[in-house]
Amino acid sequence: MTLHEGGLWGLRVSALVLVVGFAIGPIAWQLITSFKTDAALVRLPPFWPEPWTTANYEAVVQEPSLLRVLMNTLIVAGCSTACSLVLGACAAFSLSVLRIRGAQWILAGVLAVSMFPPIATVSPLYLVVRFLGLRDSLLALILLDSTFALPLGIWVMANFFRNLPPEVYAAARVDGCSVSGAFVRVVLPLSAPGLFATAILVFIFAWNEFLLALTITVTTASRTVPVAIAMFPGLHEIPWGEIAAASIVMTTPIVVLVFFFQRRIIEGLTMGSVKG
Amino acid sequence: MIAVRRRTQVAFVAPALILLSGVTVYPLLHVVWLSLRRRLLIFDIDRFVGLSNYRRLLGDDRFLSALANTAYFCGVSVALELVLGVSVALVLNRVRRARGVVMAIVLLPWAIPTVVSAKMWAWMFSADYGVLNYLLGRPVNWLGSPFWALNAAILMDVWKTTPFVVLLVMAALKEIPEDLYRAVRVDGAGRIGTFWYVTLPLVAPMLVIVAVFRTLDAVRVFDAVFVLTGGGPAGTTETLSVYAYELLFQTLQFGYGSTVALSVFLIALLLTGGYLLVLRRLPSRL
Amino acid sequence: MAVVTLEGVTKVFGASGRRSAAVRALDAIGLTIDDGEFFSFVGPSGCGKSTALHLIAGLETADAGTIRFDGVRVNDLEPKDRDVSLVFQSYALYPHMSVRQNVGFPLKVRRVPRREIDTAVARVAASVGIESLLDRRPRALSGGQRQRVALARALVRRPRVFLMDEPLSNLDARLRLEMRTELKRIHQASPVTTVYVTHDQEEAMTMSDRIAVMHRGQLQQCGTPAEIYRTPANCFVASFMGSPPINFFKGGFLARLLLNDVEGVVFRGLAPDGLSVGLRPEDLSVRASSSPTAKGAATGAATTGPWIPGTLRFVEDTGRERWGDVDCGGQMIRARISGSVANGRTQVGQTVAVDIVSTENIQRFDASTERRLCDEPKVS
Repeated sequence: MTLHEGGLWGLRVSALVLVVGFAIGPIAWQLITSFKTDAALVRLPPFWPEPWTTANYEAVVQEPSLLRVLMNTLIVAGCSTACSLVLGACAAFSLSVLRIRGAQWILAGVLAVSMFPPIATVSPLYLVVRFLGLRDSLLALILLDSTFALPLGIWVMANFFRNLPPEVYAAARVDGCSVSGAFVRVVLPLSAPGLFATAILVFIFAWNEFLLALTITVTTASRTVPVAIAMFPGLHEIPWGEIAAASIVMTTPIVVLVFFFQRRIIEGLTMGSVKG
Repeated sequence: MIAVRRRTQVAFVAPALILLSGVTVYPLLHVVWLSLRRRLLIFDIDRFVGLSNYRRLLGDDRFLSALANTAYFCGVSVALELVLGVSVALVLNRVRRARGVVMAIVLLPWAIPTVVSAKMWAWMFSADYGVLNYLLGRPVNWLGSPFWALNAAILMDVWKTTPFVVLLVMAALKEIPEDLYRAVRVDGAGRIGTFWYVTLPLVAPMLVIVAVFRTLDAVRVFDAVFVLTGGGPAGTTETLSVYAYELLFQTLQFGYGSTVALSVFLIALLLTGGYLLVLRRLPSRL
Repeated sequence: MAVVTLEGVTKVFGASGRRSAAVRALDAIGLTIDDGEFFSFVGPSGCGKSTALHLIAGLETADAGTIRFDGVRVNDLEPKDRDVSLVFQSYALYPHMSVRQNVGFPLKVRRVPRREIDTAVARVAASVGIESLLDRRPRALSGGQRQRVALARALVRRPRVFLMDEPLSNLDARLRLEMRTELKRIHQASPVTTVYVTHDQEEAMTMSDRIAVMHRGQLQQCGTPAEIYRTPANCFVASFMGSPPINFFKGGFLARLLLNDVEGVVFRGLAPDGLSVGLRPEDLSVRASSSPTAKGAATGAATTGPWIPGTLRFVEDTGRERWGDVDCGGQMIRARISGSVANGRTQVGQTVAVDIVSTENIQRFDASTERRLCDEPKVS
């Protein structure tokens, strides 16, 4: 029995090691690669960098467009998050707490919209953006990203509001709050964890969005991280070392978010899908 | 519940819905319109051609091969992700110590940009100095051979999106009451029986939902393939989205490109309908 | 059918945790449950009664001690190999299976042929009255119906030991009474060794052949309902069993209040100072005392037994009987208001006397150890 249990325990631990290794392996390799010299890149073994070099990072950091790209992405992701949080929270409030008639249908429609393949709508969007003269502008990206993130936000927050005790809103109204007063002073503060979870999810979504950014941006003026990585300049050969360094630098914010807020992210993701 | 005027309810929900329809519903209608036209941006050609673009689809070998690639990618990756997702969820469900760190690590592939992971994997897949071949001990031309390239893209996609499946399966596992596991043990089932008779059936509704999410995501796959292989070698990994993108933004054929793009939407619609049928057949939840 | 023996069975939770205090859920429990007996574990929540049940079922493993079925050690057997069945408080019905599949499940995993399963299910469904529900899913059943299905699933095999973990506590009061009788009837029809866990002392008293009273992981007393009620082993057992609960007095207090024959009847010659005396409400009777100030002057027909003066503070009328809370010099005493006095003559605020009607049932405990003192007077 104990032997059997012990074997099972060993199996479980090795499975866990395998899972964790598979998840982090490619990222770790990218990290290792980023410290290799150009000459070391085309030799394997050695597995570890010999010698260690920070040349790739220096090259990336000296590139003037890096800061620009990071700032662009930060602005786009930040503004999109704020935008879809405000609009999404209001909509979710109406759909859950206020129980607008046909809420089920609206929610279903919102979900359906989120399933639209972006490729199917990208061509008219491109034409409209071009017509409005918003090509290569952050504004266009913010507008599009926040809308595409809206369904996720509405779903997560609607589920969150629905899990609040309904008496709370009723009590606020009885105590003399207007509808929006009850929303701002009672419902929102109580849902702070849900709002936060939504915010992180939308931020990650906007940070990573590629297709729209690729079609709308032209120059570094509005280029975001994914586009910059995809179009990493290389004269003759692909500069893997620099790409590795650049991707490490540019995804660090996301990695930090994940490590600090993994519980919120998990909560948000499940909220968005359970009862879906 | 306290009565609220309809006007107030609408005021709260309207801005979001207006924006949503402006940015998603309107373009969809526009794309239908475009798909009925011959529109070449460079030559300023723009005229109505009816269904001829759709007729062209059926005879377009590149479209058919993209369709086949998408179907293969979709089927294999979603199946792998579900199987792997359930297994990993069962492993992680047992973790007590350092649970937060483990979950964060498992979540990482999902959180980093697809473009970055595509570059990462492209480097690992490199035939000459890729770490994968080094670990395998034999040279596989991952991205250069027609057979391996699409499977390489699938491998990357599995790595990237399994965490999502894992999370949702874990959420479903959490909903299974401890007493059910006790009951099934007393009733005489072993570990395999417990999984087969309790765990799997109770996770199944969630698996269908996850399958819907994942399938619709896989049908429209773009970033992963576009950055990893660019559709190559020789178009063997080109998916519908990649093909549509090339038509639209590299050859600027907005009419026919829109038709191909719209086909992705129609396929997604069809698949959703199929899944809804399955979901309705499934034993309802608790 | 089996004799279940527990020998020094101990279960510690959180033992491996470094700093977290280990909780002794069960502390060296030893008892024997006879073949065919209806045996109850009773105690407040967290007393270890459910843990005891899980250990017998094999859902948990004991940290020390031996569990035997018919003398054979079963500690290392998986639940499926112990041949027990268990009814859960939450019923634990499989939500994705129909009632028929639920009930037949224990047979199905044991690879019983399909036809035998069908007949067994039909038989047990008839015996608990769920024939009409067989094709529904648990979700579509009421609480009482789910309870019956859980029972049917446990009964469909003939297990050696039949375990029930608070099976009635999720039912409403009327249904609970009904199911009590039902369970007794089933047990009498086929007397399988039954171990029943409940926090409801009345349930344990009415249903069991024998009861084990548990508190903080320790066995307080094990005996027939009558033994436990009449001769509780300690203050905890005395106070837990019985409703409304027993009144406790420190001996010195009682000595000051009681009027006559205190030494002989109440204390039996024991020193009142180290004594804790328990008096059950049904052994006390409230009597109107016409002279409000008189302490000694009992008017009318003078009672022969000891009595306590006090003020009636609260009356609880259950319809069948009335209970009064009497303030006796700062201590509240719960006592029966007997029929003749009950006719509206006793009012809240009135000065009353509390008679000790039955002196045989006076419980005496050592005030410091809370253990029962021997019933014979110490003076030899």
